[in-house]
Amino acid sequence: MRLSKLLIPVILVVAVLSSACVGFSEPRGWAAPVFDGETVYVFLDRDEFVAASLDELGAQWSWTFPDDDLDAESEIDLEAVYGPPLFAGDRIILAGFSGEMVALGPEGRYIAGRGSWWRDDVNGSIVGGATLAGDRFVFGTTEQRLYVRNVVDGGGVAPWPSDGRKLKGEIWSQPVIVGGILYVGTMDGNLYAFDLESSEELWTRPFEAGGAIADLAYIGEGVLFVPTLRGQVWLVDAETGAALRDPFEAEGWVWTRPVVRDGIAYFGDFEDFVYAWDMDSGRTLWTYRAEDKVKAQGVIIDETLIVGDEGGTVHFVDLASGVRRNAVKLDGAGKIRAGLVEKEGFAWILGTEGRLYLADPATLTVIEREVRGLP
Amino acid sequence: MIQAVPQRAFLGLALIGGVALVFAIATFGFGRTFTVGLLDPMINVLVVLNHALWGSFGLAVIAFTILVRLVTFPLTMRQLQQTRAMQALQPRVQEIQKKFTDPKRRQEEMMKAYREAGVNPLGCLGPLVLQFPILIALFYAIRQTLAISPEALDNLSSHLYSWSYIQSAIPLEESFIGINLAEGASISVLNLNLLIVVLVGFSTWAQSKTTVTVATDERARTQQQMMTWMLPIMFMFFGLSFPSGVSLYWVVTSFVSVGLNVMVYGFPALNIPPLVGPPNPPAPVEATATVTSEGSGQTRSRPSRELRSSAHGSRRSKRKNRRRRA
Repeated sequence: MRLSKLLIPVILVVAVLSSACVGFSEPRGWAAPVFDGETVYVFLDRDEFVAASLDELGAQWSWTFPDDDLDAESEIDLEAVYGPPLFAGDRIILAGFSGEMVALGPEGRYIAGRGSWWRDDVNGSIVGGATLAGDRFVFGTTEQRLYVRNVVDGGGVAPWPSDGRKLKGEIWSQPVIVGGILYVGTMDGNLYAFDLESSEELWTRPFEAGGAIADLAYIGEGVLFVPTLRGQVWLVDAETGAALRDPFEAEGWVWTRPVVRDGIAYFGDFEDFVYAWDMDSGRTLWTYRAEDKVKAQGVIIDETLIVGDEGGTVHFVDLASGVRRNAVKLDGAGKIRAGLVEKEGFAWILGTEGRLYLADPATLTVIEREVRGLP
Repeated sequence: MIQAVPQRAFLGLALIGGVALVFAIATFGFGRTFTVGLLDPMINVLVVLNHALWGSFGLAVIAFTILVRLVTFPLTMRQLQQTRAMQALQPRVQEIQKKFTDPKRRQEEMMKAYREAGVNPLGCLGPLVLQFPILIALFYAIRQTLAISPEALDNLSSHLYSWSYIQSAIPLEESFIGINLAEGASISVLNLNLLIVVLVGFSTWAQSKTTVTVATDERARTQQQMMTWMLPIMFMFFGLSFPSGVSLYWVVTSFVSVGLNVMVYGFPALNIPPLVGPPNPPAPVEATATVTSEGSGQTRSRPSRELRSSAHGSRRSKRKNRRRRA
């Protein structure tokens, strides 16, 4: 009995500790790689931002940010990055899950600002990443605040409140800016439109999607693609904020942007399906079954749709019929959550384990492209 | 006989449950069985409660903790009553330990004493062991449901049933009366998250103080006294790094435990008697501890500790014990 009395708390503590060690909730980020000429910018590990020069073998490391050996960078903690880096003139702006923003020079070194770049200025975590519009950039936070900042020092831009404009729901999606109008979706299912200059809210009331909006995309011709975690996908008139047709009903959460060609949207859901949705007729042209959740935005190269799933499998799908042409399981890649990127006829894929891959639609193969020379 | 029926029903249910569990683990593996059988239902109930309770995840955690304690109430009561019965039997156990030097004989006598008193020495451990997977699943469920990062929300989707009512409730509100349930606390920041860590310590301490001590010797008593202080400190330390939603669960479940402890054991320091009677009606063998002297075959009877303590109080008993030891 005495033993049991002592054992029970000990077992409890061990259980609690082992639970704490499970990393299911640790932010790791899923920013897609970005290409600028022959340089690739990629987050290889959480907030480890790497620039590398592309070559025939893969990529040669150029620099890493932050460099813990430098005093100015040693205390910077972006925690994880989910949105793409912004290229504003000669500087690169990063917005982290920690709420911290930084501006880097061309060689990847931190540009000390007047303090506005630091997290104290931002309330909440930045999930969707920021969007650039001229000399300003926009981002939302999990504390329901929408910020408009200038790219020079990260400071506020009047008439937008410097401490962010408070909306009703958390902002997880990357804001969309088209023609001076800022669109932002919230996790309580509302889609807002603001005039970027005047900060005036444009629609008489926000569009209600009925489910959390975790991603948002402008697909051209005045149409916004609004996916929800309730499994519905809306097409919304960017001018009036009205739904253009009945929503598409997916089997699971839709937390991705579509790839669009000829009026057909191709996107996946969290029930492992990939859909080809004719947005004019509202018909589902075909449905493809992947092997795991589809979070990453796919790419179309020639007549092949390439998508990656969270099981780490890359699927080559015939665009017209939705038939599988090939599927390649990437060992050691982790989950594919970052959107795929097309460059010169190939699809670049980043796994959560920080490894880069190249998918070739001509040969239906995937090869790893190592970043060499990492310190 | 009255006691025998629920005991048989309990054993029957435990047997059926055990067979089903073994079958499920053999078929699906431990991880899958744990996830599908315990974790997923808990997560979905939490989400439903959150939706029903005005979108307040804090209220959902409180309601859910109470719900789980209600479901496991028969197990908890059984454990508490067994512990109390064990406590009542301690004087007799001590006597047996003193009288019999032969380990085999001592064991036999102890088992006999347990049998006569209707106590299973593992009876207070069994229900706890059964509750343990539930507690761990609950802990995971709260952490998972809070979705403190985008990855966590992504993972959460795998656990949710595809009912519209549940799907439309995502994501959940993290704030509850000023407490951010998704975040831990920091000793450098004075806020309500820190208050809940203090409550974790206090409730754990209160739980320890109201738990019956079955220790027989001084060393064990000292150890248990130390644990009364060590556990709260330890849990407060965990509370600093765990999401406050988990701490809230711990506070509620600890206070429920305190209530049940007081109900079953009473609280002598405040003159609160037990509100629930003993598990078995006191048979003659329970009222008097029968001790057979080794070799002599003589028997003598003495009142049990439980009866003595109700008549003279715990201080008097301690004095008597000291005198007896001297």
